[in-house]
Amino acid sequence: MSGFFDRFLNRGKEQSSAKSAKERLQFVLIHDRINLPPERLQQMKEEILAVISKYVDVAAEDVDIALEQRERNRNMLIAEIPFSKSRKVEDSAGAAADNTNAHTASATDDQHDTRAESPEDEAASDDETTDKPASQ
Amino acid sequence: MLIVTNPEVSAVRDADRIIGLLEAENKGPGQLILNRVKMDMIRRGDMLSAEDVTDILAIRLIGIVPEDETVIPASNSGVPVTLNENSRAGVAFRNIARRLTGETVPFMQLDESSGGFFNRLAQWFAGGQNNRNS
Repeated sequence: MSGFFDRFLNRGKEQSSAKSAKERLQFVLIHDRINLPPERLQQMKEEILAVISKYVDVAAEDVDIALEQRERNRNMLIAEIPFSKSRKVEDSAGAAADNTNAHTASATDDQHDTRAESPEDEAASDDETTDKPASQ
Repeated sequence: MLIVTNPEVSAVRDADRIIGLLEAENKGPGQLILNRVKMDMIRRGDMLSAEDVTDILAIRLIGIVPEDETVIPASNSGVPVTLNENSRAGVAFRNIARRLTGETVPFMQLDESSGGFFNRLAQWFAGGQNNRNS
C-alpha cells in the first residue's frame, strides 16, 4: 500500500517533463528571437558594467541584467544596478556625524538604484507606457 | 497562414522561427495547428499542452489533432484520413477546415481515447503497482 501513497505524494513534487520543456523553450526562444546567444549577452553585461563603473561605484555582486519578454516582439533588457554601499562617504570623512549620514544613505539605497529599461526594438520604443516592471 | 507543429521542444522552436520569418515578411502572425497530441501524456505531465504551446508561441490556435493510428494506413493506401468517418484525426482536420471557412466549431474532447474514468483509475492503480515493484 505504501507504493500507492508514495505515488500519490510524489505527484507534483518532482517537476514534470512538460514543465521543463516549457522552461527550456522560453529560455532558448528569448535568445533566438533577438538573435543574441547567452555568451554574447554575458559579454554585453560585462561591458555595460565596465562603462557604468567608470562613473559610479557599483555593487557588482548585486547587479541583475537580464532579458525579459512581455509578449512576442516585446523583449526588454532589464537592468538593476545598485550602487555599492556608500564606501566613499565613509572613507572621505571619518567623523561620527558623517557615519550616521552614511547610514541613512545606505538605508535608502534601494531608491537610488540605477534602473534602466531599454526597449529591444522600435516597436517597443513607440510605447512609453510599458516602462514599468512586469507584474508577472 | 497555418503553422503546424508537434508538442515537442525542437518542433516548437522551429515553429517559432517560422512565425518570426512570416512576421518579418508581414505575413504573420498565422494560426497554429498542434499535431500528434496525446492527451494521456499531457495528463501525466509528459507532453506540452495546447495551452503551453500557444503561451510560448503567442499565436492563435485553430486546431488540435490527436495522435491517431488511422493516419499512417490512410497515407499507405492513398485515401485521405479526412474521409475516414471513424478517425479522430480526420474529425480534427475536418473541424479545422470548417473553422477556416468561418464556422465556430468547439475543440474536440481529446480524453475519450483513454477509455473513461474507470479505465483511467485502473491504469492509475496499475501504474502504482509497477512503481512499487521497480
